[in-house]
Amino acid sequence: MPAVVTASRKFVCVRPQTYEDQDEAELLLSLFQGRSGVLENTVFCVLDPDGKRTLTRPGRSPQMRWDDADAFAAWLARTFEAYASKAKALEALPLHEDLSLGLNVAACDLAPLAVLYAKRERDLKALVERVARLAWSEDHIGRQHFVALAGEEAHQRAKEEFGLDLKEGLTLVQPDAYGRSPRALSHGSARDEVAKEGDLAWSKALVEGRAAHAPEPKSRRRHLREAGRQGITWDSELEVTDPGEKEAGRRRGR
Amino acid sequence: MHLTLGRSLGLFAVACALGPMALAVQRGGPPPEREGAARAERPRGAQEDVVQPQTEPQIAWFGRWADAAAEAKRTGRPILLMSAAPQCQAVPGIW
Repeated sequence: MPAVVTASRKFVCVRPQTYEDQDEAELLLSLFQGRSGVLENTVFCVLDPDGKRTLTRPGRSPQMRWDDADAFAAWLARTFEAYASKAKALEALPLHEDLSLGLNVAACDLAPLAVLYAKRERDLKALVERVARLAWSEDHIGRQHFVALAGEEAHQRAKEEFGLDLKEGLTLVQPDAYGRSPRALSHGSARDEVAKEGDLAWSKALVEGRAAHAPEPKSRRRHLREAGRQGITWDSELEVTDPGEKEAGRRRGR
Repeated sequence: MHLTLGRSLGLFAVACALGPMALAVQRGGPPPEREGAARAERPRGAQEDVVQPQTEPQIAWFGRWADAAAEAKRTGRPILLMSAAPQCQAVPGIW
């Protein structure tokens, strides 16, 4: 496992999707403004646990400060030492905002997405809490993304927009290259979990689903070209202000 | 910008770990603020940026700041933040 990934396990890691949420965009812009003065595509920072004090100078990426991955990992490990004695275990399930973003991000990472679904909110809450225990275990950490959905409306939307007929419980899916048409890989139902001891049913669903997950390597050039041919686009919630992206978009006639 | 092979590989490791890191940089490309433009300017036939499926565990990212901030406060753990747009030139499925 890369040293950066090992070091990251001691931190709360967050990857907000730039241009998808106004509050997050304001936070990111408050952390870093390049020469352009606008929100750029990526923002990197390490903050203390209250999220207010920066522990390193914010920038576009760690590459602006560290020469290589090992140096960055070593800095992370040293930085954590000051917090180690009081740090509690991570418990909350790392979730995406909705199915659309979850599928898109999973497609970007060529990773599977675990979709937790329950008809009732209170059942979903219980499901999320129980899957969270699995998510941070060595067997499952950092191997898939998660999204949680409740209610008939979410079920209908998953079916109509993504062709996903969700059943209650955990369904691991493989997004297509553009995060639009997921394929179900495995399922662990809520009923299974009640019937069996421990977290075996869901754990098995995650392991079996990951074994069946087989995305194609992704060429950036071909990905963009094919999107143009098929008319595939992504409308972000907010205007994309990154100067490089805007320039590239102009060149492609977008 | 010239990078030694060792440094390039190191940066590549960071790029793989963090996902949306600048692929251009691993090959000694332009600074991140010119990423988008650089992609458009890449000559025909040039080596493509190919993303391979992950075989090892990756960083376990929270997708929402509010969730991460609450968990950091509860656990007393510092926050590693790396934002990225899940699109390139308005095309989804690629950082």
